[in-house]
Amino acid sequence: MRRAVLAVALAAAFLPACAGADRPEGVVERWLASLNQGAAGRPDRYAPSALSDAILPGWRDLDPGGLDAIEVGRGTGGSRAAVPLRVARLDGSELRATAIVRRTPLGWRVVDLAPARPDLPLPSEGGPPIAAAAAAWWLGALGLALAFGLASEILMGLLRRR
Amino acid sequence: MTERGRRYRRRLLFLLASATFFEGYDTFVLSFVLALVLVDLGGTEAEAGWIRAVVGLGAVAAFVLSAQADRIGRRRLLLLTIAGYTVSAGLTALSPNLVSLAAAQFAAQVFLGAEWAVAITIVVEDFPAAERGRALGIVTAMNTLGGIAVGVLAFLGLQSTPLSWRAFYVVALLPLILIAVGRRTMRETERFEAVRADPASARLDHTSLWEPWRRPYRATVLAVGLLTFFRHAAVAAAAFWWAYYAQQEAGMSVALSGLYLAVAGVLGAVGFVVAGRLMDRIGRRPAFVAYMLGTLAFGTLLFQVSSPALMLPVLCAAIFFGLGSVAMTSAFSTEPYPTYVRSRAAAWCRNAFEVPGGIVGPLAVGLLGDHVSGPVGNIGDATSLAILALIPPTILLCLRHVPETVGSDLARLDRLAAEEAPR
Repeated sequence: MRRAVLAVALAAAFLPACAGADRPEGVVERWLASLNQGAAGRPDRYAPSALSDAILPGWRDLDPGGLDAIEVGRGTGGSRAAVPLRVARLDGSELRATAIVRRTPLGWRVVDLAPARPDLPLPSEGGPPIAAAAAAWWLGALGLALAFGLASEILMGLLRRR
Repeated sequence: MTERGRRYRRRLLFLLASATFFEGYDTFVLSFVLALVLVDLGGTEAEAGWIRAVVGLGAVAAFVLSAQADRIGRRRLLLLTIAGYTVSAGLTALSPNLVSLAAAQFAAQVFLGAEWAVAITIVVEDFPAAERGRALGIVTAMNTLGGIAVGVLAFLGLQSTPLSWRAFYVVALLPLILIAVGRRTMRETERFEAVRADPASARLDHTSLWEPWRRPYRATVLAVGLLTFFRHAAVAAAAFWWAYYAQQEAGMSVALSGLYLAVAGVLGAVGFVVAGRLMDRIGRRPAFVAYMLGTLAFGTLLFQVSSPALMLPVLCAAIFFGLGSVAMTSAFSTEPYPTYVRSRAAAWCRNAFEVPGGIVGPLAVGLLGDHVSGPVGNIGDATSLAILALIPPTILLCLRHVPETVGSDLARLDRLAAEEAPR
């Protein structure tokens, strides 16, 4: 009985972890991170080369680490999303812009760059992060701590009895 | 124990601390130079992920080698692992492609994993009970300082030399000097020699990997194993994801986050030394509980802070408690067991529980916090959640199932084991 309760508790704790999401903001971030790896990062998987050039001119021939800071904030919804971004280049210059991301059969793709929008602030400007854990997640973590403690107790009990 | 004197123990501590320094160095260096490696040898992010997985498996495979210390002796295994690591580092520096690099780094992790376990065993066996905690604190602190050394060398521009990333692995050839020193000055531990000289010891099983799971030891092995699994899963997740969190979610620059990590690493390393002294003074269990409470508070807070001014003190405190607690887990995984089985028990705790914890923790946070597909979608929150879920069970396990070993008499443990050996 105790083991059945434990199994249900663990399943309940892990179920939300199986839920997936598909956020355009993450794709913008991956694009900038791969661009920061230079040619080896293959940023063309996420955006046309011309847009990569606008972020980091001459990126194909640069060593990794050409961007000193990358920041992406929460964008708009829909199949054509606007995502706020900021990059700081190693030469000290900064770019604050909005990436336009479109859903394609192969996933999200950055299709354009637009000027920064005041209604889409970055986290460093007081805007929201890309996503955040809801209250249920925090309660779930405490529940998981209890489940792990209980599972350890049961294991120890079984071992001592053998 | 006093026979060998303070001078010998100081020299031994230097040798062991240097060995664990390179364990920390190698653990950090690959992730640091990976981008340069991909450019130089040609490779994708996916291939980099595979390299990481293969190299990580080396630390698990180290289990078989670590366990040999109960058979061939601590001194021989330590020198063997240092030599093996140096050769692997040399082969890494010479790698012509990603496959040979992965193979060389896999071998390096096998030797480093075993080196760590045997170094901890030597400290426990060759230092008087009253000094054991302090010595463990120093030896484990060097591991973190090894990681910081990678950042310092990068800051000094080692990667910009003609050897590029390979220069980091040329530096890793330095332990060759340790072999020269160790061969001349280091002796087998007194406890290992005493057990081997005892005729009753012949009746004990010095070779089976399953010996630590015999009735007298198995409850402690499982309790310490689970405790190290949970602790390391949380701590490794925090250590692995902090730079990403700082740069991508807290908006810090690479340079500033690197500077913070170096400063906090040095200040936080004091946590190991304090842990060592504290566990000699108040006991292993109370010290561990205090450190875990600190890890829970500052670890959770660290991934909720985005102000650079607050980040540095919280990072220092999180490293102090989170990483410093390894001094106690090192004592838990070695001190409760008699000499003939100690290295194998330590190998089980380290390689079968702690190392997998170090793989599972960062992986779970990555899956939960992935900005595209993760159900939480936030690495900071996912790491805080992992710390909240994983640290409380370590406190429970420690209080209910781990024996207190402060001032424990290892010779008495050995006598008891010999008396209980089958005739």
